[in-house]
Amino acid sequence: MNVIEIKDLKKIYRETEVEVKAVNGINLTVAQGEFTAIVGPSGSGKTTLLNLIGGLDTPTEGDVVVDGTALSQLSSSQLIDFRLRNIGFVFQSYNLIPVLTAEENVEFIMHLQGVDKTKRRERAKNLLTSVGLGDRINSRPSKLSGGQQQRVAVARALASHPKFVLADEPTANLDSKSTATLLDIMLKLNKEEGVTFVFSTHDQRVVQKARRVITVEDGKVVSDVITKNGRKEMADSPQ
Amino acid sequence: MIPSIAWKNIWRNRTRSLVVIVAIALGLFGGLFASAFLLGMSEQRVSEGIRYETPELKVLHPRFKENLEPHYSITDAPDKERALAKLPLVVGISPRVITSAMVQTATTSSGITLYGVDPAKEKTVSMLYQTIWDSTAVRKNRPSVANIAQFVEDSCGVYLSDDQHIPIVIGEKLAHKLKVKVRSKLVITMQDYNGTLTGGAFRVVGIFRTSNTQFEENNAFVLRSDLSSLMVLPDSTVSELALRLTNEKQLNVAAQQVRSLFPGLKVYTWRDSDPLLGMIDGMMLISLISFMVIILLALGFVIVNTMLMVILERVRELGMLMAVGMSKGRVFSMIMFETVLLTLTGGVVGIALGYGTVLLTSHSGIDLSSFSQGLRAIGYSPVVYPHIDIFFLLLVTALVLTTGLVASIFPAIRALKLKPVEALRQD
Repeated sequence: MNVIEIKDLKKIYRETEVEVKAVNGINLTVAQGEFTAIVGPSGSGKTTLLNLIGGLDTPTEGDVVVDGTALSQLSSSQLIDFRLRNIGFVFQSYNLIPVLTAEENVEFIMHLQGVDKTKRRERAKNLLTSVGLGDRINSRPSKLSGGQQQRVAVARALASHPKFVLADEPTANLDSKSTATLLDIMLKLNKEEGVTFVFSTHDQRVVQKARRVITVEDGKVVSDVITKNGRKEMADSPQ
Repeated sequence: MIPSIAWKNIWRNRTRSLVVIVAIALGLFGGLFASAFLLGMSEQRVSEGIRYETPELKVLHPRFKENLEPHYSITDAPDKERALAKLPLVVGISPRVITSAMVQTATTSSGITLYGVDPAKEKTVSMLYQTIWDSTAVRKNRPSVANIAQFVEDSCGVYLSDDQHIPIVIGEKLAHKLKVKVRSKLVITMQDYNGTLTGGAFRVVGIFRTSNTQFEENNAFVLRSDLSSLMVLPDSTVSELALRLTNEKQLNVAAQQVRSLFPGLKVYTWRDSDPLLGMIDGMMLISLISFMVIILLALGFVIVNTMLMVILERVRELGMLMAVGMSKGRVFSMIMFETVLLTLTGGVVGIALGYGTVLLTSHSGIDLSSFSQGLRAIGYSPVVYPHIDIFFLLLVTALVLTTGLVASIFPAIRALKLKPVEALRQD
């Protein structure tokens, strides 16, 4: 079952005389449970593509359909609510709320969703435990390392039970050990809980772990490959 | 959770928030205390004006006020007094004969308004008799008065009484001007009922001292019987009937009752008789509210500026919040809560400091004796008792809240204009 469908997607920036085609006619589908990396050189359009998939930016042409809902049909306030309930975000710079503890950061999304306090506290604790931060739930971001903050960000992204998680260069600011830990956690969540991850990356260590690698250059998909891990995964799957 | 985040956000930059809170607190403290000081001053002025200078109500012939002309007097005063005494709101009635006169000593003279009063009745309307200090009593009971010698010399004697012989009570300022003391003799000339110049000698029995030197200089009091006799007025004819009420708040009701009692006469409230006093009373609260609004307006700009800085510093965070699904309404309310809480924190501290200081000084008063000459010249007491009422405090609190709410609008709109994609790119 496809959770994301991208149809003839274009994003063109016009600056005075110059026209920049950041995304230039991309067609893609992402199925439930995928662990997909979008790779490509700087300026190839990876981040723009992720922003369009996440409904943070509007396409010049084409559409993104998430779980049967065309994002172009939603008003700006509907889009905000749609993001809240369907998409988890992990950012390169973690972007946690500095005045809140790890637990409160995870809880916050559920608060926006209207989940009651007891339930959201319990889920926040479980999620933080699952990303290996069960003992740091009361720490503020400033007391956590970069890797730990990014793990809180992953827990926050999952808090709302999203259809998929979009991660823009999630390991760009992490050392190799933190990168490995984060990847293991994301893979575990993908494998055990079926969370769909779509992330952009430059990092070869991340690419090696992905099951599908989509290469983007000049706003176009130049290759879309199921990796060895992905083929193995498909072979292992009951279907 | 949003109010809690807003509160925590305030303390992200402690120094900046404290500077704003201190600015708001000092602004409100200063504004509130200055207001209490001015309010206390004006209330004292009004209260003393009514106690000593202007009766709460007075009944006159409609044309008497033009020239204090004896032809425009009230006849059958005893009948009218009896009718007035039946009104439940009236507690004191004093029939007065009033005329313009010239007071002379061997060396100087001065124009005055001369009042002929019945001492016992006058005491039910005016408290002026309380401002004459019995020198023996002062020495005995008020030894702590710093300049007691001067005080006793300047303001002493006794009030009028029927058993005295041609007594006169004058103000301290007039006494200084005429260079007279208690027991000095004064010659007073005036026109009688027929327009003939007449006069008589009076002996100073008392010198009164109020907080209004103009009143002291321009008014003198004698027995009505003496004045009526000099002016050839029948005993039942008076210039005005001065009234004191059970409750000043019922002023207009009482005035209406008296008007319906004497349709041919003119009834003046103290606000009509002394427009300056009426204006002080009516305008003071409005002036002070305007004063507080101006202070809060200035503070509002400080708050807007601070909150704009806050928004600029948090562009990426706000972008993230909007990206993950925080609605515009919630972003708006978070900024609004933060602004209002910041304003209220400063506001509460400022109001508490201001009110505390008012409470501390409201009993002891603030002694401005070094400026007493200037203050008394415009009718103000040299010791000011700051006063603020709960209505004014609530109003200021509401104004602080409104300032916070209004000051939050512009920064919150700026935050809402952010686009998540662009905001997330900011460093």
